Amino acid sequence: MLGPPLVSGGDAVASAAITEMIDARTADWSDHECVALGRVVDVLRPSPRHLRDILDWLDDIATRDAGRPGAVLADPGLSRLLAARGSAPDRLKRWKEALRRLRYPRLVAREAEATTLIRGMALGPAARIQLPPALEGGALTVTLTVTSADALAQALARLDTSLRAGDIARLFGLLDEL
Amino acid sequence: MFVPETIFVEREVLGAPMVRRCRSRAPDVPVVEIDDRRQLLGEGDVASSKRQLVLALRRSAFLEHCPAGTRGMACCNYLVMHFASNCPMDCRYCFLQEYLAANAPLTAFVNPEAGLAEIGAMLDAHPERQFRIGTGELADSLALDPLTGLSRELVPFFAARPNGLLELKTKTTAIEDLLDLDPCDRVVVSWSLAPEAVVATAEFGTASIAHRLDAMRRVVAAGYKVGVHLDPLIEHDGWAEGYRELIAAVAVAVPRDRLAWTSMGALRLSPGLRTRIRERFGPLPLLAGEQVPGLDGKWRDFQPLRVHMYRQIRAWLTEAFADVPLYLCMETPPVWEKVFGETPPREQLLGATLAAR
Repeated sequence: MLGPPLVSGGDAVASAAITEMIDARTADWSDHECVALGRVVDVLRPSPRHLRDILDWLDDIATRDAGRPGAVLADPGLSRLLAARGSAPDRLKRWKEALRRLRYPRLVAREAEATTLIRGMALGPAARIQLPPALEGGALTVTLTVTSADALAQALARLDTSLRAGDIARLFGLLDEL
Repeated sequence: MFVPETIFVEREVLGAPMVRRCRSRAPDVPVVEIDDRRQLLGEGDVASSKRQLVLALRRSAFLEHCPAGTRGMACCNYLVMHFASNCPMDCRYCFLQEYLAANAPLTAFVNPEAGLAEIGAMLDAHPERQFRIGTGELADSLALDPLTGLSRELVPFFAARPNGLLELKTKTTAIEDLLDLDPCDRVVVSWSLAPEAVVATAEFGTASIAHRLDAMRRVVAAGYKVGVHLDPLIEHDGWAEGYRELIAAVAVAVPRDRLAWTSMGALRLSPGLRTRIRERFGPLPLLAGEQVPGLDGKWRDFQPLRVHMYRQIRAWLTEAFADVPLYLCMETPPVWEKVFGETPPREQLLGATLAAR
């Protein structure tokens, strides 16, 4: 169980919710694990919603790997981000992204592969291809933002090049099946 | 057989035939008379509510459309009847632990004749249509049957109805009351099946797969068709081999021409259900898969992963049961198209195809 100094910011309601959540979710954690979580909360100042995600993911990763939440918190990548400079919201965002990579390794790898493929298409500033959130639904969103007919023609030509090169088909392949 | 710790009976129905049957089939179980089942709401937790049985009057409609076709999901035009509410088994993934959290008492409704009258009126009003109707939505179709003997009322009713097909969906082996009845090909007994590794870790209180397969053999011998639902599909170490062996075992147990249909469905958990599962059981491997929220808000394995599972398992099902209809439950049309190579049939067409089996 963690004591009151854990929460250094936020309003009283959020602080109470965070303390309550931590008490409920860490009852069987070791002191060492609680200290490690306390540092995360103290440095990143997550909202109750973010903290619930964090606790869920820590439990899920530990269960999947037959390990302990403390071992996940000791991950070098997470520790490095915790010690990095920057605002608390920015560090929280990057730290949660790193935790998400551990929680969803195959999904994140597939997203990264697709993102790399999109970047490689060199579509320019006028055309943008967005992946569906968490790859759900399988639909790409293609956005064209142009200020002239010539710019539109150029953007379409670049898309056409990617289409003919098979990049778009490869992209849909990544959305299709693991 | 499920034996409740206590049977609560609404005074109004003390003389109902089903009440008398329950009491005679469980003579040693103490009986407590109550005014109204609603007085039990909020008492006890989910687990304790599964150990009691309430015998009560159903005051609302028995029949409704299956909710699975809502919010962008492909639909098979299925109707559900509520002859009971909740279940004595305790599958870790079961949506009832959230859906019935405020209405948990395990209840058998003792006025099935009212439900059958509802169904009869609908069937009579649309003689040109084929209806597929199940009782396994808010309850296991057969879990309470050794006490209530409900199937002895349902099977003859549907056996005499040319346009109504009854599906009894179960994870039990409670088939004794079915065996001396003639279903006249109007009743399908379906089992939810999963590899034994899943049963051992997630389906508490259910029959083993070997026992379910044995029950399948017995109902087939008694003249019933059977259905197989691989739902929910759960990814786990060795899942592919587990499902392949399971399908092979079904193929040995059931002649192809006695299999009415098969279905697949992804593990799907609402956010509230995920929270509920964590509260009740703590961290579970079930929750640790790569599940993400879908278009309907429910969490499923991320799409490329579940499409992979569907395609793999579909190939084995098709190899074993070439002409047997296979459908996806609570899945989007785009995923359906990826798995089958075509858009899902309109719900009336799919429903009619299955009902004609």
